[in-house]
Order: sequence, then structure tokens, then C-alpha cells
Amino acid sequence: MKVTVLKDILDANHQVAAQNRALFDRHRLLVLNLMSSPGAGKTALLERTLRDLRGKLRIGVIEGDIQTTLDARRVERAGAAWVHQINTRGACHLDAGMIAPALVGAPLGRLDALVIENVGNLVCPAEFVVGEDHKVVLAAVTEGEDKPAKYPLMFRESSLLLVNKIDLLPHLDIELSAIHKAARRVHPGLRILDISCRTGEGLPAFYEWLTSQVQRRRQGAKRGGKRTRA
Amino acid sequence: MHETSIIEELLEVVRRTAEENGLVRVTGLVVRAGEMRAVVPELMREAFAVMSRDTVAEGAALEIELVPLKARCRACQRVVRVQQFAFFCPRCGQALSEIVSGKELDLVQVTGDKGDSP
Repeated sequence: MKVTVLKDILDANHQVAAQNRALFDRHRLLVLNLMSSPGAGKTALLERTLRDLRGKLRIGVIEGDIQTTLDARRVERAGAAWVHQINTRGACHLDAGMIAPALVGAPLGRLDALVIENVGNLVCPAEFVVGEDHKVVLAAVTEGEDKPAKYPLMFRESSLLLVNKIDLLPHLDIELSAIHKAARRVHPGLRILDISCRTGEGLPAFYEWLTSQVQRRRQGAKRGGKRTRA
Repeated sequence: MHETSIIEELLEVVRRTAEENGLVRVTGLVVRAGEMRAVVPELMREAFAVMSRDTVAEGAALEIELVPLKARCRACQRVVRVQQFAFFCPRCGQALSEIVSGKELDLVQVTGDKGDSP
């Protein structure tokens, strides 16, 4: 017997993501899903941001890693208002169902923003929404300019691209403009900020963006992020 | 990696669909995957063959229909094929913001055997 159906394969994840989303809405909490390749500087960005914005924004962090609690300890030391480590035990991405239990008992009402640091990977994390307002993708200049063309969904779905490690540019044969051009080919109009988590260059613009997003969310603005389907 | 994540979700959808329709064995599946999802059909089938063991869909044939990426140009209103993920209208050069097709990841058909009614 033949059954004709039309079922979104990722629907189960979408439903749990919507439940997470409802919880974030209740607290008017800004939630970012931070993604990149391994080693692009996600944790370094968080450490620097937490230190620079101490006393200004209360930021909670959910760390997603295949193994270890190293990153959780790093962001805890840097001053995160709340930290939760998820070990995916092999899975290459976080999904909504892993985030939901982490939120039980979390002091969401005492946070201004929650950053979910995804597993370092440019493929699967883009497929699985977790209830975030925005996806933020971080790419180091050392990765070259071909990443947006190779991982189009990630760059297409993200609201913000942070180009990290710009302090290394003098040592590389790559132009920032080539990275920008490649990203905007896949996502015209994408917001891009060039930063160095080592020197701090460019970070004030990121903090400004983050603070304005927190304020928008507090004022009850509807989510600016996109669902997985356009 | 990417394909195994999708197959894991697919198997759960298939399990529920079989249950809803009283299928005791699933012999064939059709999945529609948009170009934007960047799935490799061969890898999908390999992952499916391994991961479907001991499920209702063990040994089922997995057919994958790839859906081309198309977007509408807001300036000239044409629906154009997006080439190599460059979201610009080939006619008027404007940015393409509205994806019309190519992001699907759907189960569209299930073939299987009904169990004997008690």
C-alpha cells in the first residue's frame, strides 16, 4: 500500500523549539545561537564579551560540546551570570530537545541575554533551530573566503556574521573585502562586523548590536530571526 | 555527519507515519530535499541502510527527489533559478530575498505492507 504524506522531517525539532521559544518570550529574553567551525573563536568571543560587559549585561551561556566541560569553566571564570554545559556525546550539533531540559530551573528572569554556543560545525547546527532570536555565525579570517559558498545554509540563515581574528590579516594572503563579498553573495544585505577577540578591535560595534537587541526584546519586539523556511 | 542527523529524524517520522497508517513493514520511502539542504543522496541512502536496522523501515528503498533552488526577484517579479547559491537576479542584478523552493526536507511518500487485521 502506498501512502502519500507531506511531513517536514525536522518537525519534531521545530515543535520543541517553539516550546523553548515560548519560555524565552515569557521572560523577554534575547537568545542567540552562536555557530562556527571549530577553533574560530566562539568561546574567546564569549570570554571577552563577558569581561567587557560585566556590570552592564547579565549574560547566561549554554555550552554545547561533544565532550568536556572546558568551555563552561572558561565562561564561568569570565563572569557568566549562569552557565550550563551540554555534552552531546557524539552528536555534531545541538537540537531543541537538548536545550529544553537545560532550561528547567534556569534563572531566565535574571538574565538579559542567553547565548547558546553550538558545537563547532558549519553544517548540522544550521539545520536545527533551538528557539533562538538570531543565529550568529563567526568565521575567522584564516578560514578563507570560500566558507559561505560551501556552507550556504549557515550563512543564509544567520542574522549577523562576525569575521574574527582580523589582527592576523597582515600575515595572510586574504582580503577582508573578499570574505564580505562571498558572504553577501549567499546572503545579500547580511550584517557583517570585523573583529579581533585578541586585540578587541571592532568589538564595541558588536556590543552595541547586542545591547540594542536586548533592548528590542525587552520592549517586546517580535523575534527578528528567521524560521528555517523562508 | 549531516546526513545521519537527517536520517535520525526521518526514521522517527517514518515510525509515526507507519503507525498512523497501520503499516507493519515499510518497503519504500520518497523524500524531497531542497538544494539548499545540501544532502548527498548516496550518503543519505548509506546512512539509512545502516540506521534503519531493527526498525519498521529496515531494508526499505529510499528515493530522494532533489528540488532546485529558486527565488523571486522583487524588482522584476521573475522566479529565477539560483546558480551556485549566488542570490542575485541574473536579469536585473537585484538581491533575491524570497526563496520559492529549495529548502524542503519532506517525507512525501511511504510504501508498505498492512498487517493482517485481528
